[in-house]
Amino acid sequence: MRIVLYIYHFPRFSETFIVRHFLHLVKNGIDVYVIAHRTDELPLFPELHPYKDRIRYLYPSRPKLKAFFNLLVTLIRSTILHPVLMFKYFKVTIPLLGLVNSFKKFYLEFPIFDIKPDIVHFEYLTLARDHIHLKKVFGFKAVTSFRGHDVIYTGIEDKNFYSNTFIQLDSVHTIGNYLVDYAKKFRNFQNNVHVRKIPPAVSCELLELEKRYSGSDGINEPVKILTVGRLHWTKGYEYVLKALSILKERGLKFEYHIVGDGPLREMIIYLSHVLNIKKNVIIHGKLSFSETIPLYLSSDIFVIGTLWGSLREGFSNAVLEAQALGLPVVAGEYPENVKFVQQNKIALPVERRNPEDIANKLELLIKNPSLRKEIGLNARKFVKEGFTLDKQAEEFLKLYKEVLQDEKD
Amino acid sequence: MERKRKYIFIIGIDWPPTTFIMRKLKALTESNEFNIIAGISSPRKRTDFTLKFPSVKLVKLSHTDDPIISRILILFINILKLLIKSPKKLFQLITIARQNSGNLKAFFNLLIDYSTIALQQFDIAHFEWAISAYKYLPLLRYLKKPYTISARGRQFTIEPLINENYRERLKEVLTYAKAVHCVSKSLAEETKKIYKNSNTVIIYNGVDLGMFKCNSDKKSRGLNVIFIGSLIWRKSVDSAIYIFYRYFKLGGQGQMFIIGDGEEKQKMYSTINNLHLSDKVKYLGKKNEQEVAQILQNMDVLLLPSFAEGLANVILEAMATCTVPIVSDVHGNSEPIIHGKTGFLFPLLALDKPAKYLYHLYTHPKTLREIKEQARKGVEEAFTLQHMQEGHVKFYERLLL
Repeated sequence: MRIVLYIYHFPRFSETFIVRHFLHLVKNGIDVYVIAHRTDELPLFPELHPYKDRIRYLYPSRPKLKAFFNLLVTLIRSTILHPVLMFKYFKVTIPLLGLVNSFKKFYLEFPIFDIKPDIVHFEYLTLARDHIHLKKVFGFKAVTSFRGHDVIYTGIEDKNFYSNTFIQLDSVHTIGNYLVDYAKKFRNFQNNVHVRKIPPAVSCELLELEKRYSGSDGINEPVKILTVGRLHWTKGYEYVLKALSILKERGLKFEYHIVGDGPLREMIIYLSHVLNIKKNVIIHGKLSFSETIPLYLSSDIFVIGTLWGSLREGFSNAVLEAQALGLPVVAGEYPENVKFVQQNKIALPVERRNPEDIANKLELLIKNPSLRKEIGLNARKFVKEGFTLDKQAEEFLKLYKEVLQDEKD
Repeated sequence: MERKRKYIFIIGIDWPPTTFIMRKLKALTESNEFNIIAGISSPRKRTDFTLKFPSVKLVKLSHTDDPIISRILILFINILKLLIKSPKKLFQLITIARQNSGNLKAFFNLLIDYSTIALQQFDIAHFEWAISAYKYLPLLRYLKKPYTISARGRQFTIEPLINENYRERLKEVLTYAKAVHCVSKSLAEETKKIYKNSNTVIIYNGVDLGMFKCNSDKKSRGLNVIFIGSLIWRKSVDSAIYIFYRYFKLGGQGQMFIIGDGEEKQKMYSTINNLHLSDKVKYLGKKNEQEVAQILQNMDVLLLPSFAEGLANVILEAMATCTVPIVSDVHGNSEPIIHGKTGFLFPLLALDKPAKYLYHLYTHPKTLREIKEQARKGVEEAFTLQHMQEGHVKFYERLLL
């Protein structure tokens, strides 16, 4: 079984889950390759260095002269090494894209010619949409991942944005059922595509780190509240900031730490000023995972205003990491899952976009150090039981085997 | 005897200009007191040179998107003219441009602008976007020309809070400005926070009451609610949709319409989908002023939960069409509104309140009718085109005549 993981950029700190996924497959003896654009973060992932030959980088498209020269080389090379595949490639792509774009695409997709995979796992649905034509050339099985943004909003203006992609997929990996429901309702996703739910996961090493719980109650000592996430509209920072201003009006002491960077940095700084919480808000910018761990361990509460995601299904990597480290989380949840979350006390669910509700839940935790500890420990247990990398890796292997098995059947 | 007209050089505008600048030009030139030089900074391909205006002279400034040949040609002609008129001035301009540009490209573009401006005869310069004055300060000091600026929106409400360097530059611009035109009292206050000795003059934007009219025949079940504005973070279309959702949860009926475009369009769509409002919220795209005027006539409420505004024009336009504004109480938004009488105000991001106001209007049609009428009257009293145009003429009369 030869698998290609198709990714935009590799490796990246913001997508360490893909790095872990790749390493886990390699270590389990799977013949796996990565195709992606190069990043300058490779030196920061020493664990990848022994497997550099399995990471195939796309040729750069700039400077143009160099790209043109590279294109000539790739054309000559594939004429000698892969004449049949090359013929098939242009036969498929020229009617679809036109002659010029077909050559441009060939240049960008060339690394796959040397690999000839059985399965290509497009890590994002948008990638599947851009490269699904390769399936007709190479005859591989196509798997894609459903993640939040590509399902929820990319190309949302057009209901059929992914229609052509969906009909060619052999399987879909989703991190939560809510994404599949959303895709069915708003993205024209058909029922007949094989779907496997594999939630996000955290490294087991995290579960071994010890968290000390503070007794801060927001009256005598400030409570430390944390968000880790890109500064992007999807994260609903405005509602969290408003909730914090309500807490300040109620006389509670807190520090709010944000780890992340992105286009809404100016909004966060501006709102911190006008909501009169400027002195309480500390923006750390982008930090590596190892730099973030001490913040997780020293914080009292994790809050995130993300506009979708399910606590029950494993909200997101940052939230799972917080939970794995024993932090109580305040985040949104779908109505059908609220009861489960409340009964199991694994987090405090809130109504999304409702600052008053977020403030009330935060206040509850601020004033109750023992509740923070109780929820934090429950969350840790919840993650340990269902959201570890080992478990996730097993699920992925099952998925790949199922996809290949379908062919044999 | 007719007085000699004074020349105002408005530096750094697009051509055709935005509606409010167009109205200002019209008011100033029709007063027979002023001639205008319009310094166009939009790219050549986006500039309509065929659009002429009486007593307005068009002067093209540099833009990095303009063809390099045309820029070289302009600079060459300017240099020739200056060499003939005053070689000393030319060398001074080169020196100033060199001192104020970091690299050769910037020097080249700055010299085009400096030489173009220096060749014009004018009594005062004006900058519609205050911070753009910064790069011309050395030139204006050398030419000993006074200048005025307009204080609008995010340049005064947001940027100074998030960027210390920007704040310092703005302070320098304000320090030497002869007067500052502010579109609201709140912006005048923000201006004085940056430089307390600023000579601020408030001139509200005005609405064309002939175009923005009430429609007394409108009949619909439930409220017609509208959001108008760029789909960018500071307008918060997401909050507007959520307010409508809360109103619906309270038992309200009606439809919501959204006009505008911008980077948060996908956020808008996903919010509509996530709140299951696809059949109740309609996105109408971007509309021109006349279309907005017509659409507003069929609306009951304007919902504007912005995070920052100088004073949103759309509030005045809505009030003129008897559409009740329910808007966030930020900066100048409160100035045309008497809370509960001509509209409603709510604290920033306190989203349950506007939902309740909406529901109150839905359940009290008589109150809705009364507020609609009062809103129109409120605009007629202080926010008409005539008020605005008189304000601009007086502004320059005081400075120049």
